[in-house]
Amino acid sequence: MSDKAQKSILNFENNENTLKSLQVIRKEYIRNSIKVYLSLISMAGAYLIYFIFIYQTFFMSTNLPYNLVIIDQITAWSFFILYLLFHFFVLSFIRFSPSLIRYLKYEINNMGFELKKKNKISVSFFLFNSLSILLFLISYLSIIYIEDFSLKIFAIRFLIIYIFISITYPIIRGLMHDRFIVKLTKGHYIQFHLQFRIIKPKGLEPQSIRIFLSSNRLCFKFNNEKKIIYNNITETRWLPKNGRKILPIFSLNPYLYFHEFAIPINLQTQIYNLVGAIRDWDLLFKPH
Amino acid sequence: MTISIEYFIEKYQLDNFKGTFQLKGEEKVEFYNDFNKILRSICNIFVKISNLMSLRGGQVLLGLAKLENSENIINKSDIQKCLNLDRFEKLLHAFEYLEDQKYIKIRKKNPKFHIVELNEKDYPDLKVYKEIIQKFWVSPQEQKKEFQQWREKSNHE
Repeated sequence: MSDKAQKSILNFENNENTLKSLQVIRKEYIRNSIKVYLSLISMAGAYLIYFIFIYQTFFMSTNLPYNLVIIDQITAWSFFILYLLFHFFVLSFIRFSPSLIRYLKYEINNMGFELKKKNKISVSFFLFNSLSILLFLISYLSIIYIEDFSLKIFAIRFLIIYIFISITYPIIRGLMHDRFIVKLTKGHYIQFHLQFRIIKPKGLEPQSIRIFLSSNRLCFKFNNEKKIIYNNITETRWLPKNGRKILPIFSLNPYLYFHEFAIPINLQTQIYNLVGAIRDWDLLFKPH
Repeated sequence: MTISIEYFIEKYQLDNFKGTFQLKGEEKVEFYNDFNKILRSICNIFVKISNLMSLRGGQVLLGLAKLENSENIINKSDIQKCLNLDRFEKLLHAFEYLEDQKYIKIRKKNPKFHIVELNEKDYPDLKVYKEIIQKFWVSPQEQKKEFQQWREKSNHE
């Protein structure tokens, strides 16, 4: 057995080994989740305490010493920088089950591919964060410079709501799950979405770890000619038409993707099926 | 009695596209019965596979059926390679299960060299299974090679 295989302690080959592996994953998952939740709660708590108590006192007073203003500024910006650091770096690199990721990397490597962590800091991420910073600055400056007390209170409340949303939004988006990709060719890749169902009262089973696979964007949904070919490929290869949906309301995507679903034991078969579909698509639309 | 697909094609000359294909009276009944026998075999195969205790058990059967087309002697590691599995431990339970169920026969030549074959004697439906797999199934080993070639070609273009 190779060194890599020895390092990968997970094994899903029979019920006993599957149960052991799932327990390892559950332990790691819970441990990491607690860490993240505690960090988020403490950060949200710190913001709350700061804005509800200290800021209110600051605005209720009329003649504030200069030192207090400086301290206030330092505190506010420190919190803000901490928030940014947390948002950009910590949450982006959390792996909820290192053992599972190691197992997946090894298995996928054996299939002839390489599993890579999806880069969350993309252009859209920067745009979103720039907008967030702008909103933060507007509300922060309006708190300082607006003289009307009721408007000040409104701006403070807006800021608190904004901070809560910006902390919780990444979690809603799926930061609680690892996202990985396997690059196939220049224009084609597979995305991985991991889902754990390991905190169940009935116990653990092989289906507790669900791996949702999806291709890159293939074409516009309303392109009838391509949709016929898409349907043909998905039907021949028994690919599900819909992928993972957190909320059905957000499934109004105008593009077509290939989807596949796997559990650790059938990972190779399912990945090869999806790669086969992508290859069929690529060969059909490649200029000859 | 199980009927082979190849025998069925040969018997009715289904691969002969020159003349017209005509069946009369008893011939038509015989054709229908033969066709039903093949379908029943396919159904049996699906039932057996869907009830295999281990998923790898089904994979071992696939690999073995595929390899019997090209190899005279198949050992356990040939199947492991065909299925593109990194560790032999992944197949241990599958071999044990299939041997217990008598779906495969294992002849131990020495502690490390075990010859494996499908038990067509006890399960004649496996002949039809073998024919289907050899004709249509692409093994993970072949898939890996194909995808590698496709990726290299696409990346060079």
